[in-house]
Amino acid sequence: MIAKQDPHFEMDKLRELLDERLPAPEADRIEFHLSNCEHCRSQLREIAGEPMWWDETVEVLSKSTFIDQSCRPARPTPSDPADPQRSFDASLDWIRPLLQPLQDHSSGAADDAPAIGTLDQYSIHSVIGQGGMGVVLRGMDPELNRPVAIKVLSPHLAGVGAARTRFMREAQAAAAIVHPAIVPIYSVVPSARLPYLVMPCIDGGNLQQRLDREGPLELTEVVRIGLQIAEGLSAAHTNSVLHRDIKPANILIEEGNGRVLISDFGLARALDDATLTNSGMIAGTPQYMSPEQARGEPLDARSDLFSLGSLLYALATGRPPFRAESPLGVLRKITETRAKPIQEINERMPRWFDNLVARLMEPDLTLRINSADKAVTLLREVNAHVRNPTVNRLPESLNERRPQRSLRWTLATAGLLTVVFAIATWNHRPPENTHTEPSQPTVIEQSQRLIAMPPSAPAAPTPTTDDWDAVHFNAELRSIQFALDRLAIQLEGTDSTINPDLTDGDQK
Amino acid sequence: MDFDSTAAEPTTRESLLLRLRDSKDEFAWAEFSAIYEPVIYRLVKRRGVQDADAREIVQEILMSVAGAIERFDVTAQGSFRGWLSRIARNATIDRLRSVQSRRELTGGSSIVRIIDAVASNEQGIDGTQQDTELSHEFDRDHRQQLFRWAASKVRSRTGEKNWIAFWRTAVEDQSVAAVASDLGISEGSVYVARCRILKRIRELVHQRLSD
Repeated sequence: MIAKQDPHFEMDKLRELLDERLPAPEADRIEFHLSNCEHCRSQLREIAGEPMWWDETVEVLSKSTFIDQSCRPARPTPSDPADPQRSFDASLDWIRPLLQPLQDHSSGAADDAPAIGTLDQYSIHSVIGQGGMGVVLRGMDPELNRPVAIKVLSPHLAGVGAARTRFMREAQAAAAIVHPAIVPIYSVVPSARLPYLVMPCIDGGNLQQRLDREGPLELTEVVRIGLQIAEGLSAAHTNSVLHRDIKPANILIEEGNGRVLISDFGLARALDDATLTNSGMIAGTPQYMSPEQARGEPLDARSDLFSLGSLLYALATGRPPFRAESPLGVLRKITETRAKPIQEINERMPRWFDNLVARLMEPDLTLRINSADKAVTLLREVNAHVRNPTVNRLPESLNERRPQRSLRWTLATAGLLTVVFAIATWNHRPPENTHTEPSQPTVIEQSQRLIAMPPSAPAAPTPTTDDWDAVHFNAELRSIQFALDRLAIQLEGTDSTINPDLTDGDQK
Repeated sequence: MDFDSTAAEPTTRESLLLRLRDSKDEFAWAEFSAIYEPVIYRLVKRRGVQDADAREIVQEILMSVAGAIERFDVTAQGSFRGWLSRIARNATIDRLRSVQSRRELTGGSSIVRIIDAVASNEQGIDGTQQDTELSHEFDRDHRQQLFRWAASKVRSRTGEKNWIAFWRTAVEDQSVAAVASDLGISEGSVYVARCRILKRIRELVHQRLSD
């Protein structure tokens, strides 16, 4: 009708729309126009990709990667919208021998997808996700008739004694913390060939997904969420359990009521053990790490609080506080800079909120809010204030101006760099006298480490800028820390080195 | 843009290579194995090798590829990816040969013939553009894996609603109107979501192919 007269949008405009470079109102206007304009729709399609790209993408994604389809008639349909890789990718084959075949089809009525097998008493319906730790399966607890998420430790971790032990120990510690803001662990099953955890299925996605979807959240919402997380951390810290990997993706949202729950308590630690032993590398996203964590120093509760600050920062601005071209660049920024003030990114956030976050993200450990309890107290006051500003005053401490980069911090950084330099230099000396205890496992480990560490003349020194040096030294420092940690692990116990189980034979 | 999204991904083979050579860069290596591991695994598995053996073989192959990266000449002609694929292919064949000899000792089976066929297809590492069946298979699988990898990468950044809008309209070919009303968003948003996602997948795949 009127659409006829509507001017079409230019290609550049549409391209900007796809690249999310348009302000929301304008994007909305174009989206509205697109609902009725075939011309602009086909332009948009063209910008997204030529027909061959559409065809190929759809073809690949709709295709199952099953190899021996004969033995698995009851697989989920390949076009499961939940995940392109979810349709039991062949690379997940290792999980199959773990699942016992179904007796018969045990009335898949209760849950949507038909079961693909069982794990002990649980019927397994699909793969929810795959991460550094292993695979998360969606299953059904037949006794209580409730859906559960089952986290199975992946074989390369289960084979590493230290990781396996740590996984179990941390999981058991986490299971002991009963707090509404922490994902409960229903059971820890260490006995299986691959140990696993059973948890409730929480269907509302996680905070990272919400951020990606909605961008920065409202202040009241940020504070509400921050308070819940702080309360959860406080409960955990009281039980001497650190999280070590607080980030939006680890905060789950309960559907309906918006309650948030912290997941994966302490598991980052187990993963570190394994990646260290296996590969000399650390896994995961460094963006929410504390400076001490980035430097590979021992951690205490304050590290989680820094990460909580980083998380609040991300919720308020829509992006993590420290961003760089590479993970090492991120680590460097974390250890050497402060995040840009929040109002510079989202002017709707009040200045005092930046003060609040800065007190959590304080690089100087002695100045940082030093316990989750204190964070809870502060966030409670703040929460009361944002809900009813006329009745509840803002805590005094937040009215101060954001502290300038302190002299103390500058000195600390300088000191650190000196140390790093010293260590790096030392580390570059010829290896004649770098003997450690002549322990057998080290030899095996080295061959394993090859997988992840291509032998290299440590980074050809072509781009010798200061930047590059700093990054390099940081890396050096971390690798030294890794080496030390690895030694510590070896000393820790007899089960900590190589498990012959790693390459156990055919299981069928 | 932060490094999770495309901006900081290596844009040239040199940078990817440098990152892989720099043993500290776990991310480059993690990505490399995320793409190649399933490819090699499926390739090996398709030849009837048991799961546990296949995984072991994959690890060995990745290890030898890691060892070989040092030898790549940045100034040489041809793409780094193509070179890597050849290295991986040859490593795969070598490895399958040793599987064969082991099987012969333990009695052997039809697998021997398959591996024989594979091995006889093998060309020398410098055998120019003599595309064997295996390298075709390898390249095809690698390309497909890139799409899957890119899709999961894009999905993790895009939000479920958008992803479902894309999936149902593009992959399952459902009507835009129905999907829009199901998801409670406008038809325009569905068009944008699915085009946006396709564009990102395409860009990621394209970028990786030119590495």
